[in-house]
Amino acid sequence: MQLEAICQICQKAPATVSITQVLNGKKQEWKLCAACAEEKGGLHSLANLPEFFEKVIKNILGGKEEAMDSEMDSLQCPTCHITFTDFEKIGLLGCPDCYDAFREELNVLLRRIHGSNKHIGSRPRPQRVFRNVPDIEALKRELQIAIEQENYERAAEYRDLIRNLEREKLRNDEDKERTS
Amino acid sequence: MKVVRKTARIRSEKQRGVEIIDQLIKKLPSWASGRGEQGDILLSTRIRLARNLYGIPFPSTAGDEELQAVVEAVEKACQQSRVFDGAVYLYLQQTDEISRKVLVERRLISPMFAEAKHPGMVVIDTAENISIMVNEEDHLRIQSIQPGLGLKEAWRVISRVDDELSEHLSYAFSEQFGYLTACPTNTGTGMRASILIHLPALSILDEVEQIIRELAPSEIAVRGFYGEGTEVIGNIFQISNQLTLGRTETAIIDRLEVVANKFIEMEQEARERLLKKQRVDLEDRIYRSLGILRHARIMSSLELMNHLSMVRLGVDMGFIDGLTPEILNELMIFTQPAHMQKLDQRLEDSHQRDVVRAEMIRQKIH
Ligand SMILES: [Zn+2]
Ligand SMILES: [Zn+2]
Repeated sequence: MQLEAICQICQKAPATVSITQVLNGKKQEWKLCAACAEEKGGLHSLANLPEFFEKVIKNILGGKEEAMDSEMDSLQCPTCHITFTDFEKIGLLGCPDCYDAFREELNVLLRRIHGSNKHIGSRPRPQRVFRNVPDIEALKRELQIAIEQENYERAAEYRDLIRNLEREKLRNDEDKERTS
Repeated sequence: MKVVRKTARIRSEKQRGVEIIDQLIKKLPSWASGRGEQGDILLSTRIRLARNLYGIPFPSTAGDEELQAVVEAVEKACQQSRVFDGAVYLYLQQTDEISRKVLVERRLISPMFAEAKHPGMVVIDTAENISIMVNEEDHLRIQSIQPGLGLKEAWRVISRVDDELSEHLSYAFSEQFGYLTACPTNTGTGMRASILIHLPALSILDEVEQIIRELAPSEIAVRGFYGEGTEVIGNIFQISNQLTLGRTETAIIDRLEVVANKFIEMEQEARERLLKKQRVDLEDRIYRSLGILRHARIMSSLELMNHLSMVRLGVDMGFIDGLTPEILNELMIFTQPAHMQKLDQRLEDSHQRDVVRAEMIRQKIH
């Protein structure tokens, strides 16, 4: 990819400002024109920088992965009708149901992005009373295994999750008491 | 008859939007108070949550009618929540360009959202601690901004708001993937926590890059301008979490807080080193910037950020009396281009703005 003379955002004006972004310990340089640097990533919109860079990154990834199998074209979400190829081009899914339609592909992608494909964080309040809440005893066993394997990062995650669930359970019990 | 009434309604809403911005623009957002833990180095903390509604395509795919339905659903949900007592509801389509830019400058909406043409809304609580962008990349982008190092407080506030909204809105949530978002980089918690940190001493010593390499683990991103850009933004860096799936919100926050504290420690250490080894050089930089702010007759916003950084350092280190972080934040916020234009339409011309900006600075710093 040529990054020399032209602004990477507007693709029109000559690039005069260079911005270095450090992401995942890797240094990456962006060449932008003064207007785009000030307008989009400038001093006052600094707070919005991550989103802005995400977009730039997405564009670049999209460009690279354009040459995809045609079978991905036929992989389509029945609800919003976007194909997996569409998704790879624009970097955005079309609707919540896409997560079911592209489950297998997303499992791989999410693991690549986050190192995990399983949510262990908070849940919407109405979902907390559902029966398929993770089994705390099973999680405690996982925690034990992680400690034995000296995977302390993993262990810390399980410990947080168990703590969250116990707190949630307590809150639900209180709610129930109040309503009964 | 019907049409006439509708036009009248839109006009009055437009009017209301203008009034809301007029009110907003006069006060300092509470996150800019300059107080807050570690407030001298850490300017502010922000947490945002991405949420979507079941049964409606994400904003990039949805039609205007569907997006309008999201706006109405969110407005209704907010009205049922006590957190939003007295909050303002701004409809994007009835908000003019300059007002949108004001919202960007106050960090209430993203530059991308400011350009949106589809139905959208911004909900802002009275203190500007909590706000919601409706129909940006996701149906809801809830954000909480706090002064200083306020990760735990921001999480306490935002999780309460999110909890309440989840009772009135049916969030798209999956047992496996968590909160479903338009972009897979947000899936799971949908959470991005970030801090704005002022690192002038490390920048003077040219050590920021090395420290980022040493301190920031792979799941933390540090962004800033280097080279030509270094001075552009006044030595302010943004540090945020990268990963949102497979870890709990508290784990994400704890890790970011550890990194933030390390940066603070390194910056303080760098300040002491400058004081010991290059005191005169340091004083020269600080007092030069103070002199320029006191006497300049033309000041661009970029140059201002530069000198503000040095003056802020001077205030933090006790070289400069009579100025507070709050005054410096006021200058930083109220002298932004759209803020100035909103207050005085004649300030459309940037040179004219630079002249008035210099005047505003001289009134505050003398
Ligand atoms: Zn450009
Ligand atoms: Zn879909």
